[in-house]
Amino acid sequence: MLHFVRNDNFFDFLRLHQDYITMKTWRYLDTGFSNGYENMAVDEAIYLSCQQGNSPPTIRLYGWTPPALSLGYFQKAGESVDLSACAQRGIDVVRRLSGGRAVLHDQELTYSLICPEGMPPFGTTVLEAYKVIGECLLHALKGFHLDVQWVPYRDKYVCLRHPHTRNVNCFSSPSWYEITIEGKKVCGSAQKRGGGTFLQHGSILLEHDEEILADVLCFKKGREDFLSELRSTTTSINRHLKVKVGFYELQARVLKSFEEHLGVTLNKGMLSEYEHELKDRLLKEKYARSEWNLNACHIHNNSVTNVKAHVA
Amino acid sequence: MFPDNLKYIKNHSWLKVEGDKGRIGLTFYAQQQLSDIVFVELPEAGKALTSLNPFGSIESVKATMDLITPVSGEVVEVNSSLADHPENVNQDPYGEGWMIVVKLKNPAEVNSLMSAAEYKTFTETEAGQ
Repeated sequence: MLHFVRNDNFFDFLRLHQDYITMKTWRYLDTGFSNGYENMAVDEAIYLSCQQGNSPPTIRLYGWTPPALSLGYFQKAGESVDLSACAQRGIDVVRRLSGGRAVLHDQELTYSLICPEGMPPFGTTVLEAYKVIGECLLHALKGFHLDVQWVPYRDKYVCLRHPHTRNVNCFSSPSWYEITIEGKKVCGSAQKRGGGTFLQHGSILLEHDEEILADVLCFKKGREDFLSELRSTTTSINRHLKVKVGFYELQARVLKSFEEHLGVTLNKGMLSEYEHELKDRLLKEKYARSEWNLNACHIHNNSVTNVKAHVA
Repeated sequence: MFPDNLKYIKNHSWLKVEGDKGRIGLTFYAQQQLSDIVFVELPEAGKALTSLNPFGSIESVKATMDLITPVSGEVVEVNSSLADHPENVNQDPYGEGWMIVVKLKNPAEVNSLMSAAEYKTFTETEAGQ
């Protein structure tokens, strides 16, 4: 069990870290391509370290190899995923710390942003953070002359009224401030908040293959209906470009957009020794274990951090 | 929005003292910020909790968040109805949306919690940032 001192709000964080009062310099991490277990362990290690005041506000951009299906924190693998199809295709299955639905990570750029709750320009609410980050991503994609829009916050209940809200697939469920092209979702994000810190991570699709998604997810309707739904709700950047964009070009543009729109300087850094240690512990105790990845949390759970609570 | 008979913490949990026990839930302000709740994760009865540490998680359509206990104690009751009706946290956060009841380990901890007026001021300050 990992024990932490918790900062329970933004001002406690400031008192501990006077250096970050202006919050004009953030850390940028380029961790390259890793497997799903490592990627999720790194995100959580930074998040936990930030909670303790041991890490600066951080933006991380990364990729996935091999491809992985990540599930939302409460999502039940047994109901959502065809595990044998994933194994046959060499697709890892990992459960995220954040909520939401399944995401197939393959040809995409993933971002994660970790910082104290309430830190400008994010405000204190979930939606404010989504809006700010959404603006950064929108600007980045407009740089490719893509006709990107976002789902505005017009209707409070747009998510629940949408017929695909409880869909097993994240990209079938549009939500406020999420990025779309021709009405189809091109970027899916999820957030985790606690201990005075928030983590938002998301996937910007460069390419996608609906057939693979239909192979690895479980769905109640017929395959053709599911495929039809995917085609009407999900898209990727390169389907709309004559000259394809690669991972590194997208990475550079997103990085620049974050820097410009957040009004910060992003200094390229590395994981600290402490974050490495945390990451290794999280891998060992959580993300490399099927008990964590395949068992969604239920109404009764012995602990929010002890993955040994659930054994199938 | 801020019932006077409850105590509060900055992590947006409320506590109602009931003799040697405390009933705990999420405040109206917090559920409003999270928007529609879709899942709630709660501990089993018998679990020992330490004040200002997580006792569960909650997911809305936009985020997951730790649920923080205001006090130390043993969980003696869990609102299992939230498994099928998480929307009760939105619709009736101080009534049907209650989450757990704990037997207070250290009743003096209650004295350090915020009053309704203090919590109201805190939320106004937070909203104004």
